[in-house]
Amino acid sequence: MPRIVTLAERKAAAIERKCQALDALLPVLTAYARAHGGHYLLFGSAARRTLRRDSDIDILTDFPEPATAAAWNFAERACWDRGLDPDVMPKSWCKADFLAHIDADIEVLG
Amino acid sequence: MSDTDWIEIDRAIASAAANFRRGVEFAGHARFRADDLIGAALRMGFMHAVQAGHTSLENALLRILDLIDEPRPRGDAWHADLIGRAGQDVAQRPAILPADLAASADETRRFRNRASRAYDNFDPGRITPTVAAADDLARHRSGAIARFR
Repeated sequence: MPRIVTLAERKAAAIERKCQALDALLPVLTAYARAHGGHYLLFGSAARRTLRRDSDIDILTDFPEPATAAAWNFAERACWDRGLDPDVMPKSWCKADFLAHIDADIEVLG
Repeated sequence: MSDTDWIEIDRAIASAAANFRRGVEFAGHARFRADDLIGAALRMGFMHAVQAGHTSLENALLRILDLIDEPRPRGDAWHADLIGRAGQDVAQRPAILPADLAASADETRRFRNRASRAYDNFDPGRITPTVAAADDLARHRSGAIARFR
């Protein structure tokens, strides 16, 4: 009988896959931001590198308004292509208290 | 295509238009940004109306794809792919939505994804692109679908 893969092992493997996908995602977002005059702000568990199996990837877009929709779409697609679940929002939409709350975690890309 | 094929599609289109229109009305209300119960209700109403409007729009588009035997988009990106495909000419059919309306639909799609995850960390008073997109869809979508039909 083949060795049983425990739930803990499955969970650890899923987290490892997610961490590898995040490592692959960041340079892609950085390059896009540099090429389009803006930044992506990573925050939450992705920025802290404390991803769980069910973690989404929290990203704020910080681009000139005409470029925001395309930057948002790019980040979503870049996440989906790597098996990651994106949660994207323009920085300009955020409440001040929310920005203050996440400030310590923010990793600027671009 | 018979008229009966379009009954559910027409219903979904009407529902989407009504919800987008209501959302625009909420956003345009004088107390939309008020820090009181009425303001909170208007903001919640806006977010729910846009989410409901976009869901009805998706239902209409999916039913149209079914009607013309075009496979539904699949995978994690299917919501975005559906709008992208609706805005393009593909084999044996023209675009279902003109490019500007598809862009508005993509805006409400993004908004729905955001609003469905958290209601309280963004300021509805700053989301003017979404309000404009909902207004665009409420005003012009039925005509666009009718032209496709």
